[in-house]
Amino acid sequence: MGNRFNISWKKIGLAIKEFFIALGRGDLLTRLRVDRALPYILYLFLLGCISIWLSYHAEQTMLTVQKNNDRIKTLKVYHAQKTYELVRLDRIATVEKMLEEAGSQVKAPEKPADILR
Amino acid sequence: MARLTRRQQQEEDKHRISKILWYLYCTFLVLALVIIIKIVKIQYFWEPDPETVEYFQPKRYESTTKPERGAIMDMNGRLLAISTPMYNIKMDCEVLEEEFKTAKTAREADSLETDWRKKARLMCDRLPEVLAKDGKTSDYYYNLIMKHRDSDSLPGRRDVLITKNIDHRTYLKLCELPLFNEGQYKSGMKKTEIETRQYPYGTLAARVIGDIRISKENPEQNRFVGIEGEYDYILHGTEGKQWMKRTDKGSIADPDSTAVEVVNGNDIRTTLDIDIQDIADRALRKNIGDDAEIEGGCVVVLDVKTGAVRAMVNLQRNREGELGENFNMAIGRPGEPGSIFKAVTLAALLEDGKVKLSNRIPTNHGRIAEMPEITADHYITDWERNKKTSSISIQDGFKISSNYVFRRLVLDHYGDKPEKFIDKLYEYKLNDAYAFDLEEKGGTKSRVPDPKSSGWSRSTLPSTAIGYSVMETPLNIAAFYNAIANKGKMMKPYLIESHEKDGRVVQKFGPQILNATTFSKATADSLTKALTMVTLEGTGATRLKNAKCTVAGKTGTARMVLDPGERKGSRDPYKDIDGRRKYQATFVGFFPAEDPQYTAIVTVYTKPTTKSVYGGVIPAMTFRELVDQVWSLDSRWGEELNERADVPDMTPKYIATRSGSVIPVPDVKGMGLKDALYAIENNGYVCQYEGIGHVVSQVPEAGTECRKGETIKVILR
Repeated sequence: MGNRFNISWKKIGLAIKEFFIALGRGDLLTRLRVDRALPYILYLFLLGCISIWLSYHAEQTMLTVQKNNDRIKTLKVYHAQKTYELVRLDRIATVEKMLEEAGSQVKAPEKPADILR
Repeated sequence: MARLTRRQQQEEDKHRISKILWYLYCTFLVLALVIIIKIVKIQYFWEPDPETVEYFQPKRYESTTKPERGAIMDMNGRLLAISTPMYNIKMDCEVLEEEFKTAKTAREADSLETDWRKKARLMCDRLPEVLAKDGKTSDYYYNLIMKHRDSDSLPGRRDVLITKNIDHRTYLKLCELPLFNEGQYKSGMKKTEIETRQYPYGTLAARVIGDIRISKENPEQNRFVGIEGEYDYILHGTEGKQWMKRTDKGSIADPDSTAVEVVNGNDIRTTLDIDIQDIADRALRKNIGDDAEIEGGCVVVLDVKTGAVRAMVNLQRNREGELGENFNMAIGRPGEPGSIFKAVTLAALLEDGKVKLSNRIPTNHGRIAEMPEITADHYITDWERNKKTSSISIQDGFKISSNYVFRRLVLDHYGDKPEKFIDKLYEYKLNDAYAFDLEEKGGTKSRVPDPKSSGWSRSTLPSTAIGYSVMETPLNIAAFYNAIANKGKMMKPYLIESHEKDGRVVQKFGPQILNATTFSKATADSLTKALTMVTLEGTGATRLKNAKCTVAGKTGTARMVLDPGERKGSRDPYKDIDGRRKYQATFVGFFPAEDPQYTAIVTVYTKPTTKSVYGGVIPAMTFRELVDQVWSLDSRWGEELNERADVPDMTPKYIATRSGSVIPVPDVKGMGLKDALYAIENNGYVCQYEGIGHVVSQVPEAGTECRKGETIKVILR
């Protein structure tokens, strides 16, 4: 048990030593066979870039949405205001007054409209 | 020193490059280690300064979106109430002041300030034109702004009110003015948006549409009136909440699970027809407006088939004597209805088979023998004198609105079992039988007397028969008359047609039958006949005989019990010590009598007065105007034009001209004026014409031989 334990420590010590040697020589990643995973690393890097790019565009889109919302709100207000002004003119009494002011001979009907069948 | 061989030189170079690369590698390695250590430190061990964090992190704040309040519409979708924002405009008079002072030189600072003031002057010169409603001068605005800009000690320098309650259009005009067109940070212009409820038809149906007033100080004073108040839970909607993130270019939504989407309020489509409302409002104003002794009045118009309320006018005089929609009398002010209730008595008698319209009863000089305390009915004494008879038919008694006839009839037929008559009133839903879509705060309900109560006396039954001892709202009475018009089917009066969202119906209400057989068709027909006689020959004839369509209706006048304060010590509850009385005068009916489409009631209330007020005068006049105008506007009653008609032949004949002193008149029928003139005048005749279009007739006829110079008349159409 003790022997095995000693061996293990020795191996760990060797591994750490080799790690630093490899680190010093600059071939740590090659030793770890990371070169075989290079396409995946590049792919991950690409995904990272795309993610950043999409986040940026999402923010731009959100800004556009917000601006358009503000525009829609302004248009809605304008529409409501116009609707109010137009509906106000729709009252019979108002129409009669406007006709009178315009010197028109048109009056409220005295009999129901004829029906064409 | 020995010279290195070429190979050795190459080895030496390689070694040097390797060394450089190794140093570079080590540098990067150290840097990477430093970065990793720094990341770990920042992530787990470093506590940043909160103020610094604020600047480096995007600022988040909770934004509340107020829902759009739903609109209220009439039956055709015309807007009766709509929400639009109004704006208060304030100005920060300190704007840019400090920035100008930090200019490089004093001269530059002065120049910047002078420019700002010049722009302010230009803006102020145009403000009176844009804000004409405020009636202020340009000097007023300029002095106001400069007073606050020049004085550091004046309070509220950053919020100087320029104008309030301006609409969007005016706001946009303001934004175009010099200085204001440079935006908030350069002009100091501050806008506050206030959601405002607008009523395009002004005061029309104001009490029915209602309003909401919230008191911040005292919630008990909150006021919820009409549809706005009663259906606030539908109109209001739900507030939206979400987190917003400030970025360099503006704020954007930062959605998370706590976000609540705004839900706009639903629209409410009412049964009102704003044209009929307008007609009824004008008719009532015209007839009671100038009479200061009239306290007010109401008009209700119902659609016969459905019971839908097409108009509900409530005009009441305020302390200044002006008429306004202050209280919904139609649903909240029951009163003794008077003679209009005789139709109810007649309906009960007819339905129970007690009488027919043609039955006659003795007139007995208008006196009820067993109740001598009741004064003689002068309508009956007049009838006896004019007709030289001692009997009267039920129809005639109804036509002249005789109290004697109806007292006599109920005593004869229900005297021993008054509860049977009262049960009929319950059948006719004349008690508080159904909930209307609106409730008037402070109003009271209809009430029918109870024969088992201690208040019942031997005079209650005959009194009820002529419309006293019962309390009825105008709407209840209108619903009963509507049942007559609808051949015995009683519809529940209703005001709310549907709830809608973006034009789609969310919840539909619609007509409800209160009693499908309130009375038989035969009874309804008899009642219609009796009611028509009232307007043709009876108490309503003066005002309604020549209406544009036949009206079936009844007049009613009731004295009202005076309030204790109004009696001034008088013992008579109906009269003060000066002999002044209060009246409730009503006309209720439906039209056209042959095929009823609308039922309407006009009730007028007086102040204590010495004048006599009758249902056949002001209410009947108002009803007449309502009938005439509604009839004229509705094409349902228009004249039908036949499918086939004689249309003049519009094909022009060959234009022939001849010479000679006597020649036949050419046929110009169907020609336009130009061709007709050519044909007539080239034949030597003189042409006279009337109208426009094509020739439809000519005198003399074509082929007649006339001398040159004679006149040919043509009519164009």
